[in-house]
Amino acid sequence: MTEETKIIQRVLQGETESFALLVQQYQGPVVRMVRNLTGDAQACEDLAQEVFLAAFAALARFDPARSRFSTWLFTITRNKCINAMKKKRPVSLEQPAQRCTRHGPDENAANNEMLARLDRALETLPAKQKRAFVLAEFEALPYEEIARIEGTRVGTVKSRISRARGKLAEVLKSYGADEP
Amino acid sequence: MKNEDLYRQWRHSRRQLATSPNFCLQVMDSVARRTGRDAPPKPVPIPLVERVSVRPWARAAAIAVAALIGIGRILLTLHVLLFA
Repeated sequence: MTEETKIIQRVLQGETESFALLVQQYQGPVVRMVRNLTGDAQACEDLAQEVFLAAFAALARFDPARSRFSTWLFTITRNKCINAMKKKRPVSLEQPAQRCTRHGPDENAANNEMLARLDRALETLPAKQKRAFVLAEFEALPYEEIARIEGTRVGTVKSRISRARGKLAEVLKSYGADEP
Repeated sequence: MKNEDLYRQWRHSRRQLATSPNFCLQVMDSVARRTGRDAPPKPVPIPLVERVSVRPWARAAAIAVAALIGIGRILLTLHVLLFA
């Protein structure tokens, strides 16, 4: 029995405060996943809170024999994000501050522009491609886990990620980033 | 800067995200509110008189006890008057 399973059992037996251990362990990945999937830097923590509340409410239905806790939690996160995006249009990400400091001001500006283009390109990807890409690239999840979260085959996941990468590579090429 | 470096930098920036320090507390507050709301309401203690009054057998028992106490006091008073 894994440590997570023990924690879940304690929570189900009424030791509610043990749920904090799961929140602490997964708050980073869940908030980041929400931000990257919805593109909403402001509301990502609110939505992440909803994810944990939904997980708490459904904890009795989690079956460790069927999936890992992380897969189950990320599936809830995915579904919450899809519902949230149906309700409202995504808000553009804030520019990450000081993305590049090792170069001159002109090069920094050019690089930041390029990074902003990549941000925009990510937002314009089809939803399924974007989800698969975000889970693979930013969460570093294996293809098998992404397939379980998305409820599809591994081959389909690979194909979606490949197409997303191709589109982002086109953005990089079109900008001529290799030019001195 | 090479494409690959730019891409890596972009990926790194998207992977970085600090959650607010009280995020976990906020979640646990919500969980506590939810637990409190969903829990079955605690039974309100009913006063003894009300509990007795709703049961006929309890009322009869209470009257019997009161009658026995009254008779006992009368007998005690008579005993004191006659034999003291």
